[in-house]
Amino acid sequence: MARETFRENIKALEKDIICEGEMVCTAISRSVKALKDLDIAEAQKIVSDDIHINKKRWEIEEKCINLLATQQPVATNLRELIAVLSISTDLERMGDHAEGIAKIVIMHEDKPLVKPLVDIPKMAEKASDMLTRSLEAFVNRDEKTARAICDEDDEVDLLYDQVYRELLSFMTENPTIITRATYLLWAAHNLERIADRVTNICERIVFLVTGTMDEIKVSKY
Amino acid sequence: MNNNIIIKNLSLTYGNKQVLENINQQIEEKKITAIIGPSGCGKSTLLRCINRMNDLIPETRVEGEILFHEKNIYAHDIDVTEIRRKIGMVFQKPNPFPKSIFDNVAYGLRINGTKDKKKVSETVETTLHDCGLLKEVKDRLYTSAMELSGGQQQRLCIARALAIEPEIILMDEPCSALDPSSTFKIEELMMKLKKRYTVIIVTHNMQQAARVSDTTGFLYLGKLIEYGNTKKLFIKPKEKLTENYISGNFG
Ligand SMILES: Nc1ncnc2c1ncn2[C@@H]1O[C@H](COP(=O)(O)OP(=O)(O)O)[C@@H](O)[C@H]1O
Ligand SMILES: [Mg+2]
Repeated sequence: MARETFRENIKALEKDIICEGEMVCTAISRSVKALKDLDIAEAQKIVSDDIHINKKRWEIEEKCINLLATQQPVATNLRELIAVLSISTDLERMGDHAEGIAKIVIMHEDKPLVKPLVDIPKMAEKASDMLTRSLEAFVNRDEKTARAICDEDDEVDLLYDQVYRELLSFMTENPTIITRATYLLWAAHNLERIADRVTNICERIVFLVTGTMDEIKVSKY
Repeated sequence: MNNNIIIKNLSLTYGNKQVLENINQQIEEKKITAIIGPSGCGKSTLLRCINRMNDLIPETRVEGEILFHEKNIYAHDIDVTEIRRKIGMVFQKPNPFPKSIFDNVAYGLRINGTKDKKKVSETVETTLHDCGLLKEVKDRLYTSAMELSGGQQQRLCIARALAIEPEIILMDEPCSALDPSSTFKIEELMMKLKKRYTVIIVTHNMQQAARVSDTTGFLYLGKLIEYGNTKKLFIKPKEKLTENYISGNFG
């Protein structure tokens, strides 16, 4: 078989992407748990661990650049590399959003949460689940699933609306908690952005399979 | 880094025409080294120096040294036949002998004195297998090699070069007469070969150099302008001249 080597390189990159995705899922669940427990020590660790995701992303980018410079990929091979590059960047940014949540934990200092978390963990779970399945769809070149995952972004947006309304009513009732309520709103916003980036990944999958670039999902936010 | 060929201050003239000028190059063992450069810059000449094929061209003068296992192959006490056995060569146009497929691969073994028939046929078979050719030709080992396609003939020539167990394989534009799919097959074969051999390939196709080689040298007007890691050379060459050549803005 001709160009087996190139195929092996793409397979290895797919593994790297899955690995980066797992790192991001871990960062999301750790940061939401740290928020729930207001565990500042853990939050500080999450912030410093973000470097590993950044490193993974640079490693992937370097491999892609090497292949672009030396293998002259065309057609599917070219779209595969472009997809890997763009997905890897989206993942890295998702890692930054998880880090953002950890920073919110730290900003609480010794003050309690303004309310127990209900919808924020749900948002995190939904976004992580979308992320995991989108990366599977990428490896399987599954356009249909990619499109379906995009539609699920609405669920995350709905949860965000709910958090927003709820926090707003807390703030009007008790203006002394406005600062901390805003922190929670930022945390929810970070999760909403993560789900949006999953839709970017799904758009890349559609491009990879069909060769056409279109925005499938225009997020509400 | 393990070098098995070290080229030191090598210059070459044909008559009064200087073709290579003070080349210095260390060639890594079990890696693929590519030499690129425009037509007429001296690539084939340089390659031929490495197994003393230039000796066959009249009025050739070579200065400098090429060390092979730390010994200058241009020293007086060198056995040139032995050098050519250890440093095999594959040419641009496939040049199978007008003999059977089997005899083409067995040829080198026989002239190097292997008499054991069983050993010969075993070696022929494994070598054809290593070159990805056995499946395609196993039912017609005794038919003429001239009936094979161009790509198959080239893989047969590689098999013929490998059968005598050289350490180094020199390839002079081995794919320039082949179609893309045969080209990719030969490239895959090269990647396999480097596990056991040192491969030096001359090519005017720089994309091929980029795809297959670990180290690339850019030769221009007989001078080695830049020599180093292939990825680096194709991503951020050190020399403007290299950049212009690989980007296709020459002149
Ligand atoms: N046998 C020869 N006699 C005289 N000049 C030669 C001979 N072979 C090659 N040359 C000249 O040497 C230069 C380098 O040739 P060559 O090594 O074949 O270049 P390349 O392989 O890069 O195209 C050219 O100018 C060519 O004309
Ligand atoms: Mg030539």
